Amino acid sequence: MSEIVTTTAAERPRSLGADAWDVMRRRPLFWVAAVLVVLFVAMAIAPELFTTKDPRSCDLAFSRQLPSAGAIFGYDFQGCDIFARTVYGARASILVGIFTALAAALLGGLLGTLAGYLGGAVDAVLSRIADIFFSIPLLLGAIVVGSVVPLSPNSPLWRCVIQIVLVLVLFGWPNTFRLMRGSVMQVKPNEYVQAARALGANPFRVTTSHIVPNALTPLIVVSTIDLGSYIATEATLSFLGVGLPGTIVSWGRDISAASGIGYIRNAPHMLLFPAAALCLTVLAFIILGEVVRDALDPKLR
Amino acid sequence: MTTISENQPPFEHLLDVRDLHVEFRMRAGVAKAINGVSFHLDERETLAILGESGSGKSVTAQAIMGILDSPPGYITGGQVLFQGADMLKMKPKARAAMRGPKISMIFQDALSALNPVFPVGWQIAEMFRIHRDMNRTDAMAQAIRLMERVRIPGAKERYKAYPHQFSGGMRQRIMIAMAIALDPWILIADEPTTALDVTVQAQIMDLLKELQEEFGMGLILITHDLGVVANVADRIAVMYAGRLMETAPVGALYANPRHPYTIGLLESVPRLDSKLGETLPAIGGLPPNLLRMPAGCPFNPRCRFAIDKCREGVPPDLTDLADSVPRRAACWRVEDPAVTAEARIAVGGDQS
Repeated sequence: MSEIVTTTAAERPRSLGADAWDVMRRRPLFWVAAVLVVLFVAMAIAPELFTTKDPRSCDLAFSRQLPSAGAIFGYDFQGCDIFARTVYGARASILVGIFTALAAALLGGLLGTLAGYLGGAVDAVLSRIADIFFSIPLLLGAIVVGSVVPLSPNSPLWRCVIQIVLVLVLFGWPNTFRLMRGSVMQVKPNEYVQAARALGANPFRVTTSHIVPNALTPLIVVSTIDLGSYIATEATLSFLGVGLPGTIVSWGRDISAASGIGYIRNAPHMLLFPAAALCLTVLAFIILGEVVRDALDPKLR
Repeated sequence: MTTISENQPPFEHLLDVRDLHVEFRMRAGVAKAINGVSFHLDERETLAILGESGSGKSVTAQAIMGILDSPPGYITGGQVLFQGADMLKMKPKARAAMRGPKISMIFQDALSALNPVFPVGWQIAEMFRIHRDMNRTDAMAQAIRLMERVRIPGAKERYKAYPHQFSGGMRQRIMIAMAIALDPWILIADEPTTALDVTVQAQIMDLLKELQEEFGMGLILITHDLGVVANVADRIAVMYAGRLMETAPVGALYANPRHPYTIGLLESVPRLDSKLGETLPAIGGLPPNLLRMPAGCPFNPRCRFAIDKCREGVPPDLTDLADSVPRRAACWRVEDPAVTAEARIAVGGDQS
């Protein structure tokens, strides 16, 4: 009479997260991306661990010297050690990337949930506001704000990072907003949401413990991928001179300084190393995002 | 667990639905999904609401529960009295507080009715944590007890399992455990066995019956399956196009259906004694489009007894029938000998 229990003792009850982890750790790409991310985050937290040289104490005597045993990445125009500058430059990029991605996910996620769940007038108003910001390209908007409110060279790092994060979030949130709104609208008509209401959950409870956990996956994935593009955007802004000021060591600034006329031919190493660091970081986060997406999406398995 | 009966009348019935109207306002027009449905339910009683898809069974349940999606659904009239108090007049907050401890509900497909990202035990325990302010450990102990009560094998080990790791029948048991967690007075089961295979159906119905006796709940069983109803229900209400066509005690309805629609339904049940190659009778036509109801009785276009009176004016109301048991039907010709004769043929003609 009794029904057959589908799970055997060997097959332990497992969560979505545990399942995803299992899929991810079998992918070599995941490990490549993870190692790179850990490496760059470590550089951002403690650059002293990677180099003993000061990126700001430079000697013009070494100007544009090629890589050698003493300086494996060589020296830039000012005679600064490029390896040290590349290591120290990670901090600004990673800070901007992580905080922008987090803030955009929070803001867009929150407003998207509201719009998707409440619908009607709230949705209409929020969506139109998002459309306005969406119609302005991220880079163009950031350039305009950056040139109207330029950062003073004396500003401390955190002040610069906050301003750039705010500008990027301002033009980046419609992306996460739209994603979350659609995702919530997709989850909302599910029967378990109705069942939760039938069993006495209030709207707040329905949203926080039934809708959001089920609608969150795309947001996590896209935010990870976006993180890389925010880092690239920050570098672009610094390259154009409307991002971080020159007093702060950043990859964008160094790439900009290395792209002067004649430099690319005579001293390609000045461009190569900061650009490679930037590419690798962006690539690592994007790969990580894709691997997470594959792991969380049962249809792709 | 708790005994039900400390709250004695002034009220006449545990649940009393009076002249309920629900409509859906859509771009294509207004669909009148429920048109004046009245029924009642007492403690320990099982009422089956029987009807085909789109007849308004589930909408009735949602309206009683107060979980009708609005827009597009609107309750445009009537009363839903729970122990004499009209739930439709309550504030949303008071209404929400009734869901769970007073009225609870289980759904057709337990896989989609359980949250896929949380363990089932957690979901049951959540009921205790929200409504009873229990701490985690107590709620977990209660949840495991409840899982054992609905006969989940290895309840303790399976507390942390996810809905997709259970079979259909087990999932429905989990759903039932969640629904009865707070000792509700009324349990609405919306097609609880439709998604299950036949042997499991019987087990789930047995479990529901058993729990109903233990907890003294009133049970509203919504189904389109005549077989499920026969063994479990005390009374049956047959629904068509948002109206009740006939209500009767289950024995009387099966032995002697009076409304032409009910007659048609019972005729279309396959029988063991039918001859080989014989065509199974079916009710011709389709249920009416709720946006364009026919004039008169909503069943008239498909009814073989329809006369001119059925095709115009207002549809007939439920009226008491002369019988040994209390029963009602909504048909102009219900006392007509031509119809009553057919009714006997419908169930096998063994009484004539």
